[in-house]
Amino acid sequence: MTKKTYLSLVLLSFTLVFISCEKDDAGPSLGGYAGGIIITNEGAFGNSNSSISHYSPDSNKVTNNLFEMVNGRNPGDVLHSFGFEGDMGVIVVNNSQKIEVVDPETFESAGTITGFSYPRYFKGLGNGTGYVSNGSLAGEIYLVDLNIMEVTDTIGVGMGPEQMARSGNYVFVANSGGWDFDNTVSVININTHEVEKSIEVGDIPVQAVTDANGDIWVLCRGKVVYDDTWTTIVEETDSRLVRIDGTTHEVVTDIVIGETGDYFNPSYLSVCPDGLELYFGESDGLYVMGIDENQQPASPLIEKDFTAVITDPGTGYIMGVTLTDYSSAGKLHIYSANGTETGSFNVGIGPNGLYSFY
Amino acid sequence: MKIHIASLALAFFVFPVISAGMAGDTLSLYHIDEVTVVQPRVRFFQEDRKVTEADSLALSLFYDDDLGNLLRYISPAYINVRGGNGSASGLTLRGTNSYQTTVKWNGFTLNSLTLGSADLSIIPVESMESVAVVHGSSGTVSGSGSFGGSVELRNKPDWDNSLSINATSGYGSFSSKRASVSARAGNKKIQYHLNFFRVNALNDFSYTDVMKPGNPEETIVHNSLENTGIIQNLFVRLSHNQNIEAGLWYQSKTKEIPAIMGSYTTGNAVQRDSVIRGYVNWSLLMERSRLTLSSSVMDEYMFYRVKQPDDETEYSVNSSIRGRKFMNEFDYRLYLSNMITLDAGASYNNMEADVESYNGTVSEYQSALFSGLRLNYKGIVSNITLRKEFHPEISIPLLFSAGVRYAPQGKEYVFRMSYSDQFRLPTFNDKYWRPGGNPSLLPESGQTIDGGMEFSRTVTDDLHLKGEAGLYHSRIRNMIQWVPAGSYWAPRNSKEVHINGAELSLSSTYSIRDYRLRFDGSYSYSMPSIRDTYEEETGLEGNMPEYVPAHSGSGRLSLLNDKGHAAVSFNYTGSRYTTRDNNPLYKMPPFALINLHLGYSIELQQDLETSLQFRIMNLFDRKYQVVRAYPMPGRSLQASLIVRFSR
Repeated sequence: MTKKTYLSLVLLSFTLVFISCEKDDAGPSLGGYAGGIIITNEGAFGNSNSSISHYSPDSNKVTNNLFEMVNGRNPGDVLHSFGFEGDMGVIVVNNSQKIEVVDPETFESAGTITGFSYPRYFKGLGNGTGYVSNGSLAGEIYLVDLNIMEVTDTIGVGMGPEQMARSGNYVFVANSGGWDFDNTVSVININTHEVEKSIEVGDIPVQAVTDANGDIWVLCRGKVVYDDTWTTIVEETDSRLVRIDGTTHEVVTDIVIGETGDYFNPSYLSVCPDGLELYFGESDGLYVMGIDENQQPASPLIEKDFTAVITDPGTGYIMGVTLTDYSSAGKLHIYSANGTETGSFNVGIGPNGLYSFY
Repeated sequence: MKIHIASLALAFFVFPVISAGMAGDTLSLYHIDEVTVVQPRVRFFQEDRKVTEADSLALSLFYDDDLGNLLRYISPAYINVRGGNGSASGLTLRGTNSYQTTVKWNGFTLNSLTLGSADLSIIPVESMESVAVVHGSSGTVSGSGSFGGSVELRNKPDWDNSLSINATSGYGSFSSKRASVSARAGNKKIQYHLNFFRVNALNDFSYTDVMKPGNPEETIVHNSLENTGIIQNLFVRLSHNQNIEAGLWYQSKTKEIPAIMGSYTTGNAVQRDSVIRGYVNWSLLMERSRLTLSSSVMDEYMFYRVKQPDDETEYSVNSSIRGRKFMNEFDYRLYLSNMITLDAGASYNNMEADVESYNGTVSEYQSALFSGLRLNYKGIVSNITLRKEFHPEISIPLLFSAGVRYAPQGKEYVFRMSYSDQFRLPTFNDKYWRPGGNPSLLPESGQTIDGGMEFSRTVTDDLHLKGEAGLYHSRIRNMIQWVPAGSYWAPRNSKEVHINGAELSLSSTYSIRDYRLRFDGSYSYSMPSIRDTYEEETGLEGNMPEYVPAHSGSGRLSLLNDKGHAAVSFNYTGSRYTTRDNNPLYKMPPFALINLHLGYSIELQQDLETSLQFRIMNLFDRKYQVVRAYPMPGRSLQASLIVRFSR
């Protein structure tokens, strides 16, 4: 072997390092997304692999990774929820401490609002404004103005505020306690942005919806306290559905759901499009309950452990999402009104919310 | 019943070795070279494996760096690191996880008994005289957790040394400062090593936040590092045939944990890792045998605290882990003839951990009997090793490994082939962490078949080539993986994972007058795939585990003489899936890193030399992430002044 041959071989080996890089895959094409169901997928904590999926009842197709496909970046870490204000959509990204404002028809980003520590939900108030619940311990509601993309006011509420529901000029905030404990609902006057009342409900209220009568239904998960070994439950309180009169702001109905000892903390509550039925999950599946009933139905409509459920106002189909794990795609399941499954689709990692958009 | 039969079989093999050896003390001495006599078990019985050894040039290029960076550039290992300098880094070999590779210091396992893996970022290269990677080390020799291989770190005495001192002072980008003193003193009977080091860095590097709108350039904050350690070794020749060796290693690392990409707050978590390790090793060389008794202790303490954003005095997370491990080993090696060596021994390890999330202290013991037979005849070296592990809760079958290395006389090539059983016990965290820990978790078990060819050729007086090519196939059953399970993570046995792979390496040295031009390169292809799953994981079959690159490689091109060196080191890491469903959207792109090393030494007087070293890491300022959403530093400069005194 000559010196030239040797040097050439060394240089060739070295050059291979520079040219052996793999090419990235090209992304799919864009499309319009008016009409259908928006699915939020929170992704795995610390991995920034959340996403938005969209189901079109017309074409019976799911489009995944909408936000990233359109904007060229991931929505962020732990996409917690979605909300609407006028013709804008608001994506609440918990562990990125931000909300992303988008055009829900195209999912193009219109702006980002920051300044949060632990954002959870958005509730539109009109005129391009809305509330963002925030806080893992001490809680606050931030008033945000989507026209100028800024936080304009802060309202102190209970601990760990979660979902909000509106009735008239009042917003009802479920104070879950966050990493601690709470059992109240704060009532905010949206004209003054002040808390006018704190209502005691069940333990750990997390979800709130408004029914056809303008009353507020609050899902209280109930408290489960483990001993230091995390193997033995030393205290468990009932899970509850609590109805608050939208006018008097008094508790008018308090229904125990599930059973003490089932060790199950329900996590979702939704209301059907006409506001006359509630959907909630218990240990044995999805229950459907009329708003005038005062006890949990005897059996579930669908025996599956969903993380969120909605009724599509266009088709009347019931849709639910299930979690595989936080490292694989979850699933969207579609059912006829009587609970017969008609199809299922892969969605993003960790689906946690369903929102109708027509 | 199977256990009893296996134990009997092992006993049948072990006790004749010891009794034969004791009886043989009166026999004549065979000519056995010293290297063979002192060679540790993990190398002596694994000549049939691929071994990557850091040579003196590699140790010099990364003298003031950590073990993770050294291994990244001397082997095709994938170093899984969550951020820049000082961030916890684990070693991934042959498509496995970091907790499936053991890291040993003078024969004692450094892997955390709670986490299972060893943090390479806290192991300074300058403290070690020898660094070697045994690829796919057998379970019979290395014990639990060697599917990927084992990294062997050794301190060795130089009995001719009387006094040598190295003092190093280094400064670098991102406000990094490093100071160390390394001293070796002694005579023909006793040698003492001392290495003290301290590293501080703000690690405030800039990066492109690809998770934020407009991909802004940001500077990472809350990322500082403080790392202090002292390592001491004592080597004593008690008599002409008795040696005693002891070591003590204290280290404390405090690292701020920054927020991940896309966050609009700064991180507020801090992690401190402190560890004390010590060992004593006594060996007695008889006429044709060697007896070794060893004991070691490891005491590790870690806390992780997250402060409330609006209250610096309150912690929202305040957890601590304390683990202690006592290891004892007895090994007797009998050189029955020049051709036959027998080996037998036993180990007993006691471990305990006090972790808040375990709700108190948990403890357990492991013991093992092991034995080996090595035949050496006309260029054929053949090894057979057995191991029987005893565990109070888990039944582990008798482990068997065998291999052969054939070097035809007068030829420039060598063939090797081996089979080995391997296993890994669940860590304390796997079993006891609340929530998620699962005491019923099954241990991992598997086999590796490995084969390859080496060649070494002196082409001309000036040119020497050396290369190696190998293939392997591994099966790992009940592979343990932590996966999200609701609001927390939990370990799970993936039923079976197969790994097929190939490894290539090439070294060449060419002499041009007083200079030597060297090229060292290595490449690894590993393709692990989930072959069979439990019911709840259906659909994952055929997928690759997360964060395992199929392709990886490294190398160095160096020009050196007696006074200095100029070198380029490089590493290529292929794309990695980050989700169990192998979603291509979240696949991490490949990256290639290139570094420049310059060093020059000046002899100030006969005993005193100074050396100046410059290193530019990530020369082309490549933006990359090893772990998704954790930014890595761009181009950085490190300059070190080393003063050497030797007498």
